[in-house]
Amino acid sequence: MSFIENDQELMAKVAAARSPVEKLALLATSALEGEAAMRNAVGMERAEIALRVGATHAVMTSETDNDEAAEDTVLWAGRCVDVARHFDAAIVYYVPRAAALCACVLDHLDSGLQALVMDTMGGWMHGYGKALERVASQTADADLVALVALAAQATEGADDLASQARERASAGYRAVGDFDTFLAASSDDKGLVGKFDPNMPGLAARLAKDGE
Amino acid sequence: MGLFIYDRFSGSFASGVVLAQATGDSSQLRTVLSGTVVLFSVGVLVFALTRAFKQMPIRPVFDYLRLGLQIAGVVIMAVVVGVSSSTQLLIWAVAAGLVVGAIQGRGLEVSAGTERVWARRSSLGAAVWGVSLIGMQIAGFANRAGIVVLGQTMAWFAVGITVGAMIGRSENVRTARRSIKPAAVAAAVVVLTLGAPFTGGNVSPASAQAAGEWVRGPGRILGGTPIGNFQVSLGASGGVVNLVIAENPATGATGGTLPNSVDFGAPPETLGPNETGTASASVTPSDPGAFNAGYGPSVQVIAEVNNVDVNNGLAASVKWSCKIDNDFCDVPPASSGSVSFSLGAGSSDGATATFSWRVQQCGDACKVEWVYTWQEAAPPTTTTAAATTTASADDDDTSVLPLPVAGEPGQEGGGDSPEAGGSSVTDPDPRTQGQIDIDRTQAARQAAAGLLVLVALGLVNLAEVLPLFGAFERVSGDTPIISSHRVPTYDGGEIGVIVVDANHDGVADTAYVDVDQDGVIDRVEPWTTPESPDVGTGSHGTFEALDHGAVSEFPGALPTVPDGEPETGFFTPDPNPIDAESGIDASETPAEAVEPRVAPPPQDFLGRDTADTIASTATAMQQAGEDLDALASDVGVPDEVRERVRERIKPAAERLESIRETAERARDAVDWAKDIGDDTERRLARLGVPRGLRDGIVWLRGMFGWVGGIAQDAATNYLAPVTGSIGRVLGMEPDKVAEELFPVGDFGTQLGDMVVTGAENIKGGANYGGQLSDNAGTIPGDAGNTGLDDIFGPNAWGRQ
Repeated sequence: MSFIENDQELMAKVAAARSPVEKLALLATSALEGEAAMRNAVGMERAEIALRVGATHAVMTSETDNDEAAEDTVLWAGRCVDVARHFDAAIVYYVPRAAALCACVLDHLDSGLQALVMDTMGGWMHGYGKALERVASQTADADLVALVALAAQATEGADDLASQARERASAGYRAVGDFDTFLAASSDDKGLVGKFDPNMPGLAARLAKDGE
Repeated sequence: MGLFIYDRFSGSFASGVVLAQATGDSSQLRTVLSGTVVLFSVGVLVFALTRAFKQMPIRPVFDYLRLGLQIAGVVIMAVVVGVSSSTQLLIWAVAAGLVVGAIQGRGLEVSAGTERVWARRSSLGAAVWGVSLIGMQIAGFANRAGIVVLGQTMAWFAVGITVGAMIGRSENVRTARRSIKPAAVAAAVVVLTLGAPFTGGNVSPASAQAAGEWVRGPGRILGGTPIGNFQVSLGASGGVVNLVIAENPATGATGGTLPNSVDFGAPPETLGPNETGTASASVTPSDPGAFNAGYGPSVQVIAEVNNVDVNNGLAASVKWSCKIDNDFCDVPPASSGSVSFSLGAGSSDGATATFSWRVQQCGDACKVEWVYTWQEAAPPTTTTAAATTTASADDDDTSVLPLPVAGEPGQEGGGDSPEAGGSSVTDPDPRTQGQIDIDRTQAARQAAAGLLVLVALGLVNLAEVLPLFGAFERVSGDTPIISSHRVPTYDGGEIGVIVVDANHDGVADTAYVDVDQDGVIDRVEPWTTPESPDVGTGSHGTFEALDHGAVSEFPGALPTVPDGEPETGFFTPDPNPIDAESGIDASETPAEAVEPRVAPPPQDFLGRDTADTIASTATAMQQAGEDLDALASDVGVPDEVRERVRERIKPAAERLESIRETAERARDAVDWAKDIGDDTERRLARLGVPRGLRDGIVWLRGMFGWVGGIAQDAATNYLAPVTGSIGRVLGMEPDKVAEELFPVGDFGTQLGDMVVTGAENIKGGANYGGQLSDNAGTIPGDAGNTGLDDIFGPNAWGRQ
């Protein structure tokens, strides 16, 4: 079982642990596994691993009142951001989480490091805001193209147009990291409709009816 | 066998607690006694709380007897019933009790009557006493209910409180007791110091320990730099009073002139019996800029001395007034008061009184406080009054009061003491001997109290003796034994509000208000010049309460929350979308009117304009139509088909409400974030908080709202590094700063829960990084671990 799969169950194991020592052992072991996994990981999984290791250290900080774990939390959060900062979707997903981890342990840091972390989070906010704006804009563009695809697929003789629009929308969703919609738009028309309103199945058919 | 002893200082029911705890192992005895104890405890608790502020006599013999009975009761009952407790727990209980008791003892306002000394709890003392009293009862009930196993813990905690209270009050009692004795004092030295530069806040109480009783006046925020020292020294000797006034300009304050006038009697400026004289001095800077950025405060002090009749052991009195004016305070702060003190009979005995005025620069503001100390000392053999000198304005230890007498030894007892080889005949400072006397008495009482505790614990378990000794010494050594704090002569109503031009634009814009006149700024509020300001209370309206509540949505949350993530936690959007009307109330932000220099927000803050555009269905249709045209041209769709598709876009857009709703939600969240950012920016910019920290605080504040709010104390804890420094600048408590800057409101979530919940969401979430790698394989992102310098530090990523 990979580190991430193990980590997804870690909190349940920690909650079931009967003693603080057992909890600490679980957390420390997980952190070591995460470090090992980080060495072998590639791509954006490195951000995922770094964030999870940071979360482990944050829990250790809270459970054991350990200032060293607090510093490790900040370090791993920084590693997560370091990987994620190159891709807008990753920034939007990882940066607030990493910053939240830093905030969780802020009071365990010494005053010098506290000021540094606060200052750093200000920079992260800027980067997050810029990435968020780009993602929002790209998502809006993809939504509008998807709107064309939906209208086209309900129009007789516009199959090519619908297919082309759907592909373009799908690519747009993939670019912003909305993989659920990306996969749905790539698979069939209903998935794309479901993205907009899952409570309205058969929307395309009704759209066709409305258009007649 | 119900031996109940109520300690009026600790508020404890020692034996009652013991009985209750002891019965934990005896079911029958437990049933009977528990009921009795509960009824009795509740009744006495209510009775005791109603008498929290009642003045009661101090009876040392009775107190020591009661302490002995209390300890004996604990020990005997523990042996009889067989209750045992962890040694470490007992040590901590006693230690905690000592601390709590010392606080209670220090909080006693001790006064001398005609024959005995009386004590009354101060507000702080009553609060600590009430909390500990109720806490002990709750703990006792919890113990009886089986929720916790306390054993003898609470009983020894009560013992600790009793001993601590006796230790804590001893200084006050000693001082008060002296005043009911025939005083053998006929010399007095009064030093009035104005503008002693220092960097700290209020004067450390411990610094006045050697001077006996001391009183601290309220601190105030003003403008201006340290203006120097004013000292007025008053010495009475042989029936006449000498009064000298002097002033020392602050280091670097070269632009001012310091006229000096002394007006009473004939040279050499002495007052005979029943004569009154006045000394005054003022500072009127000829170059205000040299004092502080054009503020140029002027200060005047008048010391009026009425030598009623020193030789007959009556009294001397000093009246003083101070007015600090400058060109930016609409209501110049001023303060005045008087104090009288007994000088006793004789012509050469020592008594020392010290007035200290201090003006402290704090960034854009200045703090003024006054301290009054006085002490009658044991009769020295010297026949001359203390020489009148000026206090050192360059004293590095700025938390210590300027000493009124040249060559005075340090408060720890210098080499001038008789024990250290100094000559009592030539010792010019009567306070030195007084200090030695205090130390001896204090040491004896501490030793006696410690011995009682040690012996009692030794009966229970010999192994506890040595650890307890260490704990006791640690507590008693760290607890400053000081006298009571009172403000008997200060007319604080004269200074209720200080107005400051914080941003140096020539317009007063910020008011620091001390509502309850306790010397601590209670709130900071925007200032607009009122038609008739309420000088008495300083009230100019209320501070803007910008509390957006538990906003649970934040830009970025919606599009990034993976499916299947738990419904509560860090990044889960509120199922009820933010209500812009209630969440962002324009009426909450009147500060716009008083902060004209705030930079306008970015045109497209976090994509707000983009979201606003999308929120328009018509615009969405138009843009979709443009996309349609582009696509149709690329694919080669006939115009007829293209027009039919265009016709269907309108009903599709109307049906696809989620586009608009999502955009509106994002727009509202961005509005909220911008509002938070603007407000925080406004508050922090005028306080001089660096840009980087402001950004970080904006983020934190947004995050607090985003996660659904956290407890205020958690916010205070988070923000201690920021609020602490701001609080020092403003003379505000850090938690007050946190409340003003980060009104996150009252929420129940605690910090620990937040960490765990956040971690659970992160760890329990999907492998988003894996999805990114799988589905967007072309993305970069394997930058390694060498980029941390870009992540942390002045060039932190995000601003580049």
